Amino acid sequence: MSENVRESLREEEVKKIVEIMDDEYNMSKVADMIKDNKIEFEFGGKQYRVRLLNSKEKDDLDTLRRKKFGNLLQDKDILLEKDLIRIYKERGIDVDSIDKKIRQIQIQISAVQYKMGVVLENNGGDTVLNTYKNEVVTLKQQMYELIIQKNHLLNFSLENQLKNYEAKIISYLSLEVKQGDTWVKAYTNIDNFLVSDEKLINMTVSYSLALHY
Amino acid sequence: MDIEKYVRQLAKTQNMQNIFFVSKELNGIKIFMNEVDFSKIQHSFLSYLYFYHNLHRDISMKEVNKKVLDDEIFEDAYSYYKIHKVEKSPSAPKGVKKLEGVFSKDNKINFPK
Repeated sequence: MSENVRESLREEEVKKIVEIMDDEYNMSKVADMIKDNKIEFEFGGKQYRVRLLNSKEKDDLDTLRRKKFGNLLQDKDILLEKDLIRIYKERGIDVDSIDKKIRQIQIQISAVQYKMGVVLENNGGDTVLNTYKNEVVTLKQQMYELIIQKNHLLNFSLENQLKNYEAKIISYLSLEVKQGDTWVKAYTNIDNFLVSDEKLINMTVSYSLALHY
Repeated sequence: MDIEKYVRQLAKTQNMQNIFFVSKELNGIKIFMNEVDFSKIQHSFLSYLYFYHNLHRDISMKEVNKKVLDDEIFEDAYSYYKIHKVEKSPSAPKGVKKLEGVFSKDNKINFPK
């Protein structure tokens, strides 16, 4: 075995070990996240947590969401999804056909899954299974590309802007910071939250979306 | 971090499957500290616990080889097949599902009723 081959094998082994360690670390983080209905994290030397909204906060969420919806509706530059789809169609981009392709691929995936299920039940060979597996991987890849394409096209629709804002409202409402032994609201209003550190906002949104539907 | 990926991996571990099994048998063993108000991630975790519990049950009953656990694509495919083969079977009454399916038709995970 040449030195290069040996070195390359060593690199592969190291990569595998690092992957296993990363997986174990991330699983332990997730185990912490699921132990109760709150997620704690550290940022900038402070201890934060997100939790499920209480009844009063759900009312606050509704109020803030309605207010934003009203503002977005008044802005003539922001289009509803159906209007955006119509304009794209006039310019030769058919969002509905992207949807149709996505549905067709889902049907194809299901068909391959069914065939794979038959092979698995009958203890079939690895070659057939791997062929089907590769088909599913390719189809899923195609589907994800189309979903990304569609999301990108509709990113600026009123509905999507409202959805993104809603995630930030939930995050703001559910974020608390530890002061001594007690947890207090991290921000007294949403505007202060929205101008805080972007990394903190992103972490909070990511964690609060893991808690809330 | 892809949270969903690790929720699934965690639910698949032998430790978690054991805790899940014991919690069904013994009242005192709880999976979560909270008993109500489950978060989305907790719901997802419970669904995967059921999902892998059912797979292990099928493996122990020799309905499928343990090879199914080698790949998540195999696991999803087999679960999809299990639900739909009953529907395709000529002996299955229309609208009646015999299986305690964890996956619904649209591949979303539901709890058995």
